[in-house]
Amino acid sequence: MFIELNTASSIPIYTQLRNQIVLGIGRGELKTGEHLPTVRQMAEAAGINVMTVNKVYAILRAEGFIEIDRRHGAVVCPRKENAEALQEKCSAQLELLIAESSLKGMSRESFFAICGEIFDRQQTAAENAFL
Amino acid sequence: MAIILIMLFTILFMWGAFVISYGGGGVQNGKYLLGITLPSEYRKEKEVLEILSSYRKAVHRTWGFGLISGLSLLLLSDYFSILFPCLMLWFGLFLYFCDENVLRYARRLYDLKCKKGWLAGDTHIVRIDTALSCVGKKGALSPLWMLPAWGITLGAVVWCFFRAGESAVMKTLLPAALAPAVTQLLLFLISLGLRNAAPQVFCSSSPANQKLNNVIKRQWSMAFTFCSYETAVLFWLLLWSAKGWEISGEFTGFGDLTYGRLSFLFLVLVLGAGGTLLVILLAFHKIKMEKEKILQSVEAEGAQLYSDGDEYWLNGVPGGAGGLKVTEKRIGVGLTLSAPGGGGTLGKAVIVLTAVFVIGISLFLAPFDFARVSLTVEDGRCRVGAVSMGYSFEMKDVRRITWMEERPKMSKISGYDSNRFYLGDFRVKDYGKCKVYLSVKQNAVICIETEEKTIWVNGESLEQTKDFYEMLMREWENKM
Repeated sequence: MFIELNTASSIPIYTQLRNQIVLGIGRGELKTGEHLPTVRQMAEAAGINVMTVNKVYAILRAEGFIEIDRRHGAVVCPRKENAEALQEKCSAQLELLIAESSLKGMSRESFFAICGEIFDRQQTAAENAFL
Repeated sequence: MAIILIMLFTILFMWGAFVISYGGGGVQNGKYLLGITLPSEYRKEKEVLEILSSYRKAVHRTWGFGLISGLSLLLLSDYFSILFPCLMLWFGLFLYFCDENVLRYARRLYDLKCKKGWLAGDTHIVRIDTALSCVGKKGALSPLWMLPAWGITLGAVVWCFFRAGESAVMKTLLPAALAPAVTQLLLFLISLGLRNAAPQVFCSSSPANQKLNNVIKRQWSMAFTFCSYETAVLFWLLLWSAKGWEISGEFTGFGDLTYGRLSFLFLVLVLGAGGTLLVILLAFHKIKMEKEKILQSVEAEGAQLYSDGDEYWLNGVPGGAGGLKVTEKRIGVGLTLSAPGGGGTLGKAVIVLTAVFVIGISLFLAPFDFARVSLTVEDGRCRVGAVSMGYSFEMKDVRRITWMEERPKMSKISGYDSNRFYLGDFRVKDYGKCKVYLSVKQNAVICIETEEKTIWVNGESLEQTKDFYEMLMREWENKM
């Protein structure tokens, strides 16, 4: 999987890294059981601080996307049990996105069509990841 | 003369290394022009060609000025305390101006690229290939392979050290033994830096990225390991041959060597320096060929070539854990240390420590360069000396005072020798270990033989030497 970090973006590096890994798992580019680079390897490759990567891995672990094995490092291991807890987060993030889309003139049908397309694509990849 | 030849060789070698290292500026690795990634369709644009032409003119001016100023330093060969800081300053300034040329024109090309929108993708992007990062240090030959070579050199240094007491050749070669040991240490550190460097993402194909990184790390680490062994073998060869010179009883100093042996010494130096350069060039050529082959097949497969990272190359890589990296140069041959802000505290500390070392050595040697040999006789005791070195003896102990038109051959045991003065304990042909206080520019010398020591002295001019001789003869005859 290829992770792209924008060093000029206003989004913090750790947020970008976390989002990219989640997207990678969602798209199936990172399969269940696949190893992520160690904290040091990731930090060296990105040219960022070890503590930043450590923080990202801790967040991903708490969110149930990876597991950290002391011997083998970080392993992709998405868990499904947090679906209900995500609803609140989803509605908060979607509310802003829907507000922006409607203000810009996007129709309800177009919005749902895009949502459906992305959801189907991600779900297929996610199901493959669990196989 | 020997000092001038050594200086000439050093200056020409350093100049040549800079020319090769900063040479070209043309297309490299199939994508860099002046170190900036530029798609091939824009490389023939008028503005691009103008920048390239201006860069070449500036580089040729810098090389020309560097060579002339470097060679003019030879005029200072009589004054080592001035020559040494000037040589280091020349080295630093030449390095700075070569670097400045590259950066100035690369920035101009990058600005043009941004203005014209010739960007292949987004700027300010750092790409991580997770599969490649997981591979870690694979590909590079372990720097531990260099340890046997280092052991061989250290063995030679120890052998040289234990023989130094009984052999003038070994004593002379002992300080020179530090050069191969330090060279090998530097090769070890560069190899270690390269092995630990984060892998580079060239394209959207992970296997191709792994192949490219493997080729770069393997070829460079093999080249450095070979150079390390070459240094060790050549140094042993030099020591073993020099041992033979002493056994034949012909050695009193390097200036005393036959043309055959001097040629051999020169050959070893050329093989050592030139061989290393040749191995580096061969490694560079091989990497270039392999890279082009892999990148062509990647392009044919439809994978995307990443051409970003120009801003990180111009300004140093982003800070943090990966702040200091050994990376391939985008212009010229070899590796470079990419560091944000010119290396930060470490870089500044190295510059300050080097400056302190150079100024310290210069201040220490300055009194010797401007020394005056003094000879006085008071209350029947003669004192001879220069700077902080001196010797005194009773005139009644003198057995013979001889005037000689020509200085005999001699080599330093301890003390100071330069193009201007010989001061300290020297091994003089047919006289053995003697006390020497001589101005080298003056051929006439006075030999004073006492019961304990033989002392050699002269003045800066023939008149002063005659004055010394007359005073000594007068005082000696009075005592007799």
